Amino acid sequence: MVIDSLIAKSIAELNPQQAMEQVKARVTKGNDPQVILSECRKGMEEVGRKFETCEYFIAELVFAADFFKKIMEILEPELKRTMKGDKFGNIIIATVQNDIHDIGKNLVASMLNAAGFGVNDLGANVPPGVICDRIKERPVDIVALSCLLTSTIDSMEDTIVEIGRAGLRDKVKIIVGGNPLSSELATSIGADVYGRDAYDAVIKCKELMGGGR
Amino acid sequence: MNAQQIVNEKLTRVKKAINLESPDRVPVVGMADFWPVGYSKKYSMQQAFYSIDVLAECYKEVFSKWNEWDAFNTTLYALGPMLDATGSKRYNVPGRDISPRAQFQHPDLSLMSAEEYSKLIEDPMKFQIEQIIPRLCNRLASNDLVLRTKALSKATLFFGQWVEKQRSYGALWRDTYGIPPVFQGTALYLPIDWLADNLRGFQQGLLDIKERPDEVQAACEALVPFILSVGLSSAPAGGDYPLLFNPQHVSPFISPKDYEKVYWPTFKKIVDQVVGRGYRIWVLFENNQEQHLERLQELPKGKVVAHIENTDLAKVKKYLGGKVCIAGGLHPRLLTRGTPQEVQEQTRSVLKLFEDEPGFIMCCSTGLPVGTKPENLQAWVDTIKKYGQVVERKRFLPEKGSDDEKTSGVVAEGKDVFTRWDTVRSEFGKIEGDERIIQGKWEELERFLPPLIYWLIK
Repeated sequence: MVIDSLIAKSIAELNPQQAMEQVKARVTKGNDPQVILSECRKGMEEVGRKFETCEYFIAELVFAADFFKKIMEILEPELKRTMKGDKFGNIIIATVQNDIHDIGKNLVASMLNAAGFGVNDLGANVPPGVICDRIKERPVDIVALSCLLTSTIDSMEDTIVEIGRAGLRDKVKIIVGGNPLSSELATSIGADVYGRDAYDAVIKCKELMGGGR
Repeated sequence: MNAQQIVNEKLTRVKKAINLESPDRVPVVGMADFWPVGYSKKYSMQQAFYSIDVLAECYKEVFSKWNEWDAFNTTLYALGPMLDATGSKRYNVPGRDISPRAQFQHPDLSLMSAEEYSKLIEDPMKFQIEQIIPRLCNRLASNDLVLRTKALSKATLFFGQWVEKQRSYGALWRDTYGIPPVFQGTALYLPIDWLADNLRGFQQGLLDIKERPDEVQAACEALVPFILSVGLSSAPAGGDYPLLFNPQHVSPFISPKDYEKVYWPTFKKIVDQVVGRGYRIWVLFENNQEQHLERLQELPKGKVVAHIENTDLAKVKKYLGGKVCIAGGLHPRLLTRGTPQEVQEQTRSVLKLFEDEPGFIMCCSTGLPVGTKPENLQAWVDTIKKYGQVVERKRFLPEKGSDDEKTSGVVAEGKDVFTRWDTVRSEFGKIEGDERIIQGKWEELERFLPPLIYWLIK
């Protein structure tokens, strides 16, 4: 990918200081925050691409997601003035009941956020009922579920069953991820897709929303 | 054969695999935290987490039915009472913080700030006792001396009993069921894993590797004496297997470049120190670590077991075959959700892959999961017994090392780990009798401290 934006390039090369300085300077100049955001996202996309080709690893994703959040703190006040809720899609994300591990889930949430999704993070050890209530309360396109323990795959399956029982299954797409899972297992417990890692999850969610890479 | 003969046969089988010699068949090793509780169904996870005897009863039930294991990890994580005695928030405890039917879990806590690296580097033992333990264990932070003394006394009492009970249960099961115990609470972390898991928090640890690599590197170096002292002190003297258990989980998430800075130097140093004392290391290479395989070729031949979780086994064999013993092969989800036929097919395919590899041990790629179907376990064990015979093993003849004599009780040097006798000798004034008796016991108790500190923090 040819990157002609200095902001995108700084992010892709994991140079947070330069990226922040650029963002601040452009905001001060009065540049359209939506354009700046889109350059930031390009940078994050490139980080994801480098992850996919094993140039970067999870630590680099965590690092990029962390400073992307800081960039967003600068941009958000500007965006609020101009944006009208043009999110890619609305996602609720949770680590399933009886599993408190949230590092992977947090990373996926950050990457989805960086990619332009509206992300509602329900935390870890989340009972199926809470997830169903959230789907009822507000428009949700995708439910993203995570688990780390082999034993909590059952909780994941229970959650999907519960969503079905509540009559909500047709309203949402479900993506699952976590160390003990596989694509086959994801299908067998009733999920629509399996996210192999944080980057793959973003790609799959875009596909679920009808978009490509 | 009686139990002792069976044990001897198993010991030979596993040791040959570790030494990269040809065993009579592929050994099968079991590791489990709380799988026996799930298998037994008599007790909740809470009951087992609060009583080593309840947990042991579940293990006994498993062993009376499945005694084919060539070795079994008997680290019995019934730590509930110690956590409550000290007010520790280290784990989410079944029945206390999470469902009584859930397994205990390790939340990601950040107990140290970035500004404190210099203090950690200066004196890791002092920093951890002064700063980390009080932040983690509120009863050990109390200004009330009575409360604090009671908390520490109860924790110490529990810890001593815990170590002893694990060993006596291990010995009992070996003598009764012919299953040699392995690990038994041995504790060997690499400094970066310790730093990320227990001090900075995992996510913050990963960020530190990117944001302050020099401090992380210095902290890792500084932690080596503490880590080594814990590992060597926890190794059971005269144990059946000279193996120290070392789970590695930061490594899958970092690049080879960062690995060179924060992982490999201290990993190599610790391996050299440990194998130099006659021990072997069972490393659980968690998740996928393909990016580090090339570097791992430099591990000493025949001294390390590389237990592989998700890294492609064919690639592992290509890089590490003939150099270290490779272990793994069965994904836990096959045991919980597969069929006996799928388990059999996977087992046969792995045995086929390693048929010309003298150093291979078959085990679940993680611990045996709660929810393992008994029929799948049976299919697995039966398949190994039927097809695990070695067809032709010719890859490698081990070098005869000079470090095969195990020396127990040797502790690592490090000014910050032990209060040495000569530094307190003057407090005793004139000693009427044999000073060596007093000194010996003083040092024996000092050696007990790093593992106690380790288990208070871990």
